[in-house]
Amino acid sequence: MKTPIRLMIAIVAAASVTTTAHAADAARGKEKSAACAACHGADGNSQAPDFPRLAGQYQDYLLTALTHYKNGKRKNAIMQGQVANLTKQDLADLSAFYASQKGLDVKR
Amino acid sequence: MRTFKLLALAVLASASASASAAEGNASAAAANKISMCVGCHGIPGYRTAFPEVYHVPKLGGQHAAYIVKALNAYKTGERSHPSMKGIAASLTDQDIADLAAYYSEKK
Repeated sequence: MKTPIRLMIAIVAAASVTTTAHAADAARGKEKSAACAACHGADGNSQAPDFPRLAGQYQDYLLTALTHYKNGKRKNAIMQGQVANLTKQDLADLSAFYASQKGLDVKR
Repeated sequence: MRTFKLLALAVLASASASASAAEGNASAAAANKISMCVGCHGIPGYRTAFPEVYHVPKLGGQHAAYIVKALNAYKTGERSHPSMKGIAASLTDQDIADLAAYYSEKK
């Protein structure tokens, strides 16, 4: 049966709206990070010593921290406000972005 | 007399300022105090096992002031993690300052 092209487009559009899962995307995370740069620096190397450097941090640690801010396991007025409007996908993408930057290292 | 009063005030002010903020000494930390830290934070790729599994965060190059804030938060319970709570409880303010200075240097 020949599916009308408009119907096919509608199906694809609907599918892309409802799916949440794509692999964590650093490029998308970079786009999302504009709001974060004010405190954490454009690449996650913050200038102000009160705000932690994120650049080069382990991706899953960053995601855990962001998730904990979102579910209340970790308390911080600023961060809880920041993540309130972010989706789980956003958190994953942001974590991927900052993890991919150069900054922190493992120190013995 | 007025000059003396001003001078006395200045000396008092500087004395109290240095007494309240512990100056961090990275080599003091390296000599004595990192033994509790290296087992988790010093091994690349090391992960916690409980209650959640994730990589133990890298500390090398982190801001000293932030490390101090984090260790104190574990001490007071503002931030919760079973291992970190116990470790932070055993640290003095000087220890915390020294460790923060140590880890803020990348090498």
